[in-house]
Amino acid sequence: MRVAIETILLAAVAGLLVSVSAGALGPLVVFRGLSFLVSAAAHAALGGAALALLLQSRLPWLDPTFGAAGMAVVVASVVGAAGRGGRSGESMEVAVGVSFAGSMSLTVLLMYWLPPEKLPLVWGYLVGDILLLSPVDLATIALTATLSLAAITAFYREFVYSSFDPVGSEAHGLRVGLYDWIMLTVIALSVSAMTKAVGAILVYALVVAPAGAAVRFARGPKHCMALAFLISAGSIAMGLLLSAIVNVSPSAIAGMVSAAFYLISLLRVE
Amino acid sequence: MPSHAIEARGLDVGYGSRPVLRGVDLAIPHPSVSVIMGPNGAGKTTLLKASLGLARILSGEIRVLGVPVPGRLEEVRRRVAYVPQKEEVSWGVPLRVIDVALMARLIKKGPPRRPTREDVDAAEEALEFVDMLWARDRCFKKLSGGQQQRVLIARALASKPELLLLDEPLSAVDAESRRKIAEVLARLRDEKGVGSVVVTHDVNPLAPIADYVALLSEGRLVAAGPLAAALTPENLRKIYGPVAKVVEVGGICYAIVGDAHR
Repeated sequence: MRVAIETILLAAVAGLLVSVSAGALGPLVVFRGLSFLVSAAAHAALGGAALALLLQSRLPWLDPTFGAAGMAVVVASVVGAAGRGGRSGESMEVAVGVSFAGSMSLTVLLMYWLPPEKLPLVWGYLVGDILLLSPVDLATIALTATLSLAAITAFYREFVYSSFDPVGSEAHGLRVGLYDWIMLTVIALSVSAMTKAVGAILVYALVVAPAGAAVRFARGPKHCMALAFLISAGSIAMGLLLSAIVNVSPSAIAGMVSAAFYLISLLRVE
Repeated sequence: MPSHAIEARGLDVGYGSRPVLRGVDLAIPHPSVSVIMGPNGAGKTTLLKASLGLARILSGEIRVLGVPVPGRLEEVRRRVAYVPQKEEVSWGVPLRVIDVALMARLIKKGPPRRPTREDVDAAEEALEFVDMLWARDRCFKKLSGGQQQRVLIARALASKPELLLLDEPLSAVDAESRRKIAEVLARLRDEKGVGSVVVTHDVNPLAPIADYVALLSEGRLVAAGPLAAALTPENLRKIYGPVAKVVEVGGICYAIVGDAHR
């Protein structure tokens, strides 16, 4: 099956927008050693969507998107609270793991009570496809790209300083807890929204691996963000190109290409 | 100018409700190079963190440059600069030396924290002061431990503080860098009137220039005063235990614990 050129173009636009978010946020995730947060945020969205669907019997206006966003904010808040007082590294990583397990457990529990016809709506939060984008999906990705760029533009130094030296930054007067919360919330919201639109594989592949490769070559945080964007965009371009020629999933190819970039970067001796 | 860098009365400090420091009464002169020493877990770092509002004061009071903490914490953080243990700094962030040197100054400046020519000049001057301007555009994480420590001191100095609080600046640092750090602290006191309070295991590199020492053990102050008066064999054995050997060099006593001197 050949994919229509319009679909490929639409997917290319989406890929570019996802790469913008990945370039802005991926390095922050890597700087903080919180790559697992990407996975936790996506699965928290799953739990939040399930909860919203269950509550719809009493609150018909409650869209699952609100539930997904709300749960992503909860995860960001839990991880941020775990890192308060300079206990960043290990405590935050543990909080990410616990949030992941907690939200998946909640999802399983809630799905037990949900009517069977609503279950695909829940799973839809993990299995988006870049070749099956709806206008709402595209708008969501555009919104997260804007949110990511706005956050990094407004708080670039605050995010970098909090990542480099949380204790020293707080001692000099930076409100590390607040900026950590903003950063984690933007990451969690963006990742959960992008996952619904383009699928978990693509988001993991384009947020973490390109940033992991870029940080090994970068001369500074901005350089790292630019490199992560290029690797991300290059991976998705390769995926779409191959999928136009042969019948393969563009997300899978993009994931393999970005993983290859990361593996190659490991050869660099620092 | 305030007469004390740190002044504590009946100070209990802890994390949560568990006290780490208990009943500390202390008055560190200013400007001076003062040393807080003691074994691991003595509460040295906690005392520094309490001075900066980073540890919870359970009872008693503490003033930094005459300003009460936590009552007027913002003023303290504006006038004081902190040099953390370099192990607390993340190596994952690729920053140039000049970017690190600008950090404390831009934090104190407040949003939007964009560096002006004046900020860059201050950071370069601070790098020059610690003899690290040559590395201005190098990657911070590729420097040696001693060079990184001097850049972290420059970061503090660029914010034009009246007092430096340094946490273990001499640990895992080569002998040449130790000598240079001690020289920088002495010059700051003598030429600029900037005091330093240094938490360290090893008083030896600072002994020639230090004015004052406070000895902590198990969260309590054992002794404080000029080095020759406070570093007595009795006091050193109180903090390092009866097995510590004490040697006297140039009128100052040092403890030898295992194969390390303190």
